[in-house]
Amino acid sequence: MLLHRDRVWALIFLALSIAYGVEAQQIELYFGGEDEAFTARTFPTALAWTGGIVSFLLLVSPVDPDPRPRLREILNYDWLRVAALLLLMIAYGLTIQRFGFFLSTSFFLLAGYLLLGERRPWMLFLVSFPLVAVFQFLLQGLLGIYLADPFLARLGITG
Amino acid sequence: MIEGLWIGLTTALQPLNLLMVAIGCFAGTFIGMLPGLGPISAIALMIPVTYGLDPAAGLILMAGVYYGAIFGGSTSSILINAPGVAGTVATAFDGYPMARKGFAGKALAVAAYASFSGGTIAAVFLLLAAPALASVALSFQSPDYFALMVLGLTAVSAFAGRGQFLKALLMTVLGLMLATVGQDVSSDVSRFTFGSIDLLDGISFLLLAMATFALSEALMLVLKRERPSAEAERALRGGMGSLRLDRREVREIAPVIGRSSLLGFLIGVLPGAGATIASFLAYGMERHIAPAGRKEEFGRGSLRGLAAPETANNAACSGSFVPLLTLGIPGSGTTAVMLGALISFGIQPGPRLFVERPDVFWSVILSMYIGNVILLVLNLPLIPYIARLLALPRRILIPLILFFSLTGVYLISFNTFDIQLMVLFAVVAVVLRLAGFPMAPMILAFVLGRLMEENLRRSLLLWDGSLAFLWERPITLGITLLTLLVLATPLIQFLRERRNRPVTAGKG
Amino acid sequence: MTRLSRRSLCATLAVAGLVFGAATADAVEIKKIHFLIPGGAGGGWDTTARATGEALTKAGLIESASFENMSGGGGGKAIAYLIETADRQQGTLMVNSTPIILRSLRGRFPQSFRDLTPIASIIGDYGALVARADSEFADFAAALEAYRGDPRSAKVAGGSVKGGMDHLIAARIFQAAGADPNKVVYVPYDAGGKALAALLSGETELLSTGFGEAIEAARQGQVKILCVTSPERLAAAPDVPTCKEAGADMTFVNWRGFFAAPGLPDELADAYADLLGRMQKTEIWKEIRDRYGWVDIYKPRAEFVAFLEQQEGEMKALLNALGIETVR
Repeated sequence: MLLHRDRVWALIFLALSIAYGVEAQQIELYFGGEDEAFTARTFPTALAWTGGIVSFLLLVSPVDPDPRPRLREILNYDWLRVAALLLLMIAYGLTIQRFGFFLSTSFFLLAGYLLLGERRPWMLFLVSFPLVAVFQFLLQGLLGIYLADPFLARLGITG
Repeated sequence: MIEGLWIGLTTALQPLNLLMVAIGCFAGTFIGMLPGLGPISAIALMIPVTYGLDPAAGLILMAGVYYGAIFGGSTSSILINAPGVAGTVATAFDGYPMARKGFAGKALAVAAYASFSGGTIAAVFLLLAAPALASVALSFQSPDYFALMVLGLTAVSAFAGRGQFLKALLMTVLGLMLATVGQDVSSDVSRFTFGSIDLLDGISFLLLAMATFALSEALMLVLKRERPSAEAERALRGGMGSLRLDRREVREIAPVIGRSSLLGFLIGVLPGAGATIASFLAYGMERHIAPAGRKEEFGRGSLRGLAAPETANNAACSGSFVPLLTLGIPGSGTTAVMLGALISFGIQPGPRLFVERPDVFWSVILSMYIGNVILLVLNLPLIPYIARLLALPRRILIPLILFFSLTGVYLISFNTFDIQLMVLFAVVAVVLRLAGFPMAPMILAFVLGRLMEENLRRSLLLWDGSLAFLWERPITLGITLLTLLVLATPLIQFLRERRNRPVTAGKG
Repeated sequence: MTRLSRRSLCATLAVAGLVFGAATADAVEIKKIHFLIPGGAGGGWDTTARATGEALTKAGLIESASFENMSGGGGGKAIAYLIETADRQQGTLMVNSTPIILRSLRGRFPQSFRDLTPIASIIGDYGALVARADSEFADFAAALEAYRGDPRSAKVAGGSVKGGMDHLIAARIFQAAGADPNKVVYVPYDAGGKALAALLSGETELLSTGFGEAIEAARQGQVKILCVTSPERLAAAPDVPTCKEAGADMTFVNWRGFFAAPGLPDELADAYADLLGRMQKTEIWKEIRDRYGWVDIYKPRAEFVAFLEQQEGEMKALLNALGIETVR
């Protein structure tokens, strides 16, 4: 193969190091910091150089002729399901404060189980709503950790 | 001293106080098992509960909570690759692979024995030499800490021996880069925050560890449509493997535990170091001195690799009580909260405490120790049940792992931005792992990076911009030479290996 | 003497506020309070809020208290949250302290205390300049002389960043004593405890810290306090001179207090302030306060605002003298 996977990664890290190094030069310096031996820029600049050099070494070093897993294997992975899980997590983050911990978490778990192939209704129910309720009770009731939950508050369960 | 010890012992062994320690252990283990909530939260949450209690009872409750939370932290590291506390990151390196092979019960048991032994040996040191060790705690200055962090970073070499030296190095640099995000430690300017208020405090360790370890691992399992191997399946059905270690295994880890206790305790005594660095150093050291055949096991479920950091972690936690009790100096977030707890019981630690109130001094140490004992007694019988968590079908277990990892981080900051950031890091981690980049060096460098920069910078400030501290301070010089020695050996080995056989692929 | 007259003006305002507060306190009865804590569990803000909530409930002044931690942006996240959700935060009090002034002066977050409803300051801690017990500096004058000769011979350790509170206290003390505050060799540590360790290990000659922490270390025989930034000598340490007595005419107090959401009705705000005032007289509060070595500096409402403005002015002048940009 002309462009080995590791070479591509070496280029990505090289670009990252350069971007990091450029950004590092934008860090504002503290008053009178210009004459200090070690400023807020020093360490990042050194890192950018190190990153660049190591990426370069990876670029020119002999590569593994038979990387595992192979590209064909990787493309065959269950990317669709993982993408769905990622979207689910993002949705969870977006709804946790609006709908409250209880509803948001329960639906997150429910959707997760369904996505991964659980079909038994009693199982689906058991490890979502009641489980979250118990968990939330332990956190909120026993440990006194405050969880904003507009939904439960409307039902009059939490304050 | 004997009298003080006796008073401490009789107080701690009253039935009510034993009940307290049991309650504390349970609460602590539960809190600690949730990735995210560690000893800091556990103690902080318990302080108001103890306001009305008799100080002795309160203190003993706290001791149970403290050790329970530490123990619980290693449980989630081993079972679901979710190191909730920085000190248990190294535990996940080998504990999780062991659990995946079907030895979850044994891994948890080794962790429990290692924690217990580390705590016990450290307690003996405390009893013998606590007041004298105070001067050790004060002998380290910024240059020495800097050298120590660099030495800690050499533990990266443990992940570099499989034909992926440069990749491990790149991940180390990446970890160091991530550590520079946020407000600069000394000059208060923001770096790499891109104007976001959410990045101002920097990326939290917990967030990064959960995303790159727990989340990415759970996603990998889905991605590869992996079923547990037949062997692991059998072990799962068989009650998660037994807890028992055979004589050979005991003989193998006993010296590891001995060495790691000593190292962990000494590192713990230093107020600027702490349990995380102790666990990395112990892991690196054990790998370094392991016999040739055993070295390759590290990172793939080595008993030594599990016992070393777990012992050192606990020994360091006990060691950190030296500066706390004898100098009144908290060396870590956990001991700072513990100091708050002690003060709320009307105990003011410091050099006078040992002289004026030996009974209090000893009852603090003894109640810590009794917490450690009770924890072992309570938790060993529970391990088979806890380990059975892994027997849940994947389709149930994986959403639960995702949920616990996300909530663990969310419960600390209550910032939903963190959840999105975790998703981003998890995706990056999955892709990097598929390309053969190891995650451990990244997290290790992330933990050490901030401390490294801070101490180097302070050293230069104190030495007026000169690097003379590297050879003028004996401790710095000693540690630096040790670092060079550690670096030289595997490098030579690596080069020799490379010449002798073709490069083998690393595991994802 | 302008400071004095301003202070007496504040006192008058406060009395007026209290009378008003007392008159309406019966009308608005507060049964529960939700505390918003801009940092994580176990920190200084967390301890203050939880101790206040505990004292209020145990003394029977309110029925229940809840605590919400929200960290991020050095406290800015919680402030923004309180402002955004102001209409449903009438039962919420946010704990805060001196850094809110510093951080908004330096533009770390766009808001300031003016965007909130200040309720009251409740406790405070004075600053202290400290040397090792066996230090060659017998008193502040000796340290000052060494500093004038070579600032590197009087390096100052502190538990905050450069330009943070511990740095500013030290710079202010030297400035008030007539020396150049710009020359202070300030060595930052990430916590007060580590700064103390650095002083004890001989890494620096001086330490700038809170009086509460300093007095404990002094009682243990580890350090001597060169001066304290209080207006008068403190009962807890009658032998320790104030910085003013030692030749540096300045005072400083790091307050901790509570803020409510913007647009809170005045009678409700007064009722909260009144509640916190009554708490200070309870036995349980006295016990908690003494344990932590806190000093009562109860300043309700208008008096609190005047105090905040005064502190903001002083800090701004000092930051500018140090060449640090301020945005307000």
